[in-house]
Amino acid sequence: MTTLRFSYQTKVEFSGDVTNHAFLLRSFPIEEKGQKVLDLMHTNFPIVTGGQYLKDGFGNTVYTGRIDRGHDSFTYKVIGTVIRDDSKKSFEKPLPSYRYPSELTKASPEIINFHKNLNLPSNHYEAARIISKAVYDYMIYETGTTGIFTTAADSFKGRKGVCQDYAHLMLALCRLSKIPARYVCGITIGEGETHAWVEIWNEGYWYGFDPTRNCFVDEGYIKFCIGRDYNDCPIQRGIFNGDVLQRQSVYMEVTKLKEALLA
Amino acid sequence: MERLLNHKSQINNQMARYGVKFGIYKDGEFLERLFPFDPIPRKITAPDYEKLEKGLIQRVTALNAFLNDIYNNKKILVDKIIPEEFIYRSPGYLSACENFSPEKKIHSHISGIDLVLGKDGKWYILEDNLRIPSGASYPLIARSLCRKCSPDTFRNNEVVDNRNYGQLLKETFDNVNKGGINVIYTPGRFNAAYFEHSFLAEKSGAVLAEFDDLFVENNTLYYKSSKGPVRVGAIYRRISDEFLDPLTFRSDSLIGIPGIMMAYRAGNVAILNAPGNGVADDKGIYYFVPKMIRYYLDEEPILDNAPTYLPFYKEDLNYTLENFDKLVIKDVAEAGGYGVVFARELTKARKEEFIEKIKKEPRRFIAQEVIDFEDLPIVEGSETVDRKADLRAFVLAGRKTKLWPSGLTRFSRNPDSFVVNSSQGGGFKDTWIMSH
Repeated sequence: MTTLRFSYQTKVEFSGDVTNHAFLLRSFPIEEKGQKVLDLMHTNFPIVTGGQYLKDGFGNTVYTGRIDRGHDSFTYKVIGTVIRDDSKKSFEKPLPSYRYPSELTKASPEIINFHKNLNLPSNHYEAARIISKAVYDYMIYETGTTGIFTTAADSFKGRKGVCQDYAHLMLALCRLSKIPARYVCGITIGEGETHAWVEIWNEGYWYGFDPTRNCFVDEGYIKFCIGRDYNDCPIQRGIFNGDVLQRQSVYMEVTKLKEALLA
Repeated sequence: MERLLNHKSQINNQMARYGVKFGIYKDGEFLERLFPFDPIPRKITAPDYEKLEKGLIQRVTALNAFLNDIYNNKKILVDKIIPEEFIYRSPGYLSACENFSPEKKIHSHISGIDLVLGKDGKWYILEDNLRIPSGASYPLIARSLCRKCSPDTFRNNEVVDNRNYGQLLKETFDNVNKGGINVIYTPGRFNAAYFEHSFLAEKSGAVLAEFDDLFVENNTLYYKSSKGPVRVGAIYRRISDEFLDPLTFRSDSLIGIPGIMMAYRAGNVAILNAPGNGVADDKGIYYFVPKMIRYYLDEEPILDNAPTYLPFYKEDLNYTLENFDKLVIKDVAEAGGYGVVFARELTKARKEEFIEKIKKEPRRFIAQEVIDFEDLPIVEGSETVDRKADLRAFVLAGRKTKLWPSGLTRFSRNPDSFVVNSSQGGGFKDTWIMSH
């Protein structure tokens, strides 16, 4: 059992004023047996009208709101405490859609070939471990070469990408083996940006794999949202009026509570 | 009748004045065409109509049960009546609709079911349109113009009045309205069916709204009226799912309403037709509709599908390859008469290429027997000629599910063509349901 204190903040800056800004956020820890939320505080700037929390089709908490008056930046911050416990897992039946390729995780002939050469065992968990390692070995971590709409097929071709691309490629490979697998977005111990990883389903339970870091997901990971791929669960999306450029800066920090108290 | 025929050009001129148009895309360009009207009505006898009515209501009832099941309990998949493949590889399946039942569990409020009358005297269902089927306004306005030009025709023939479509549509709205006004949402003047949107708004008493007239706040949809925001309880949106909400679907959609999906999931507004219906009117799913009727309603289908083969099943693939030349092959992802291939019309090279495609991606295609369907007479110049025609019947699911006693009869203007879709440049006729 691990108690984590986290703070997550995103600031979007526009090069001029924007109006009629409608947005949606999925930046709140998921509530489940292995992840309990002790306290949570969510603030926005400037002031949001009509903000509402609701679940989406995957059970993610979605906050929607709008800022109609002109503004040239938007900041939201979520702070909270979470208890993570990997010895407690919920027994679940996966959505069948987790077994089928989604828009960003369709396998190309090259990926199918790569999959074939892995000679995977039939056990889901064992197979996922091999896939995760293979993705880690194959890909080269490099920012700026891919974007949020890059498909697994494209990043496979270029061999370069970031955590999202690693996750998409792993999902494509798992689904080729008919292993139910889902995309996870969240934050991890340390500081910096958000992270993406994969969960695979094996005999009633979900297990997390992090192909970017070549490791299992442990109690240092906090889950924000899940889906078949990135498209199903972007952490944030906004639509506004205004012909502007935008720049986004994300900052998150996760610490073990004991250490935080000592510090 | 004669009198009506004499009025052909007069009625077509009137329709041009009213702006009864249909937009089509040709070579990437948007063209607005008049939708040519033929004055000889298609007549359906009362007993024939009664059977259609029962059969179509049965079909739409089963399709609604299917949609509710797919997005919630998925019993039909658990019981292996339909292979999962056909749901989760369908572009019409939307994960954003998972785990949600719309008001009264109605997903397809306005369904357009396409049928043909075979030369064997039997009606066959060709396809179900459960997203935003268009076309009801055309027979509606044609009838009203015909009445004006030739009132005697309707005094001397016992034709069931079809002017209640607006009322039926209003009942369909009101039945699921979550509190607020009814709105018809159009992507605007450049849409293929803009005429229809404005016409139906007028007939059903709904407000016609365009981009920028609507917004979501507090997960509630509002219309910007001249007196301030007014809550919307039900919206009949005439834009496709992918453009509906840029916060959920395509983020580059400029005609969507940001946040409407969450307002819908919050239960604050009804969307007609519900998003995600594409999973049920996919050409691959069509094969399974008779099975759905048996599964959900425990009834035998009253109306038949055209004999259909799914190359997905080995047996059907073999049949398709052995009988290739006499079949029509349809790409399940395409609509509007695109992606329909009559195997006998292919050159040898194209045929081989096509067969390879089917073998490689069997899930993408269905094969059907070519139904020899009836010809209807149409007026061309001073003579009458026979052309292939189909029927789009409109089923409205309000407090009760009802068939509109009329329909859109479309005919091909090309004597050799079996494709009667209006996107392919055909014409239309009024459809008379006879009271005897």
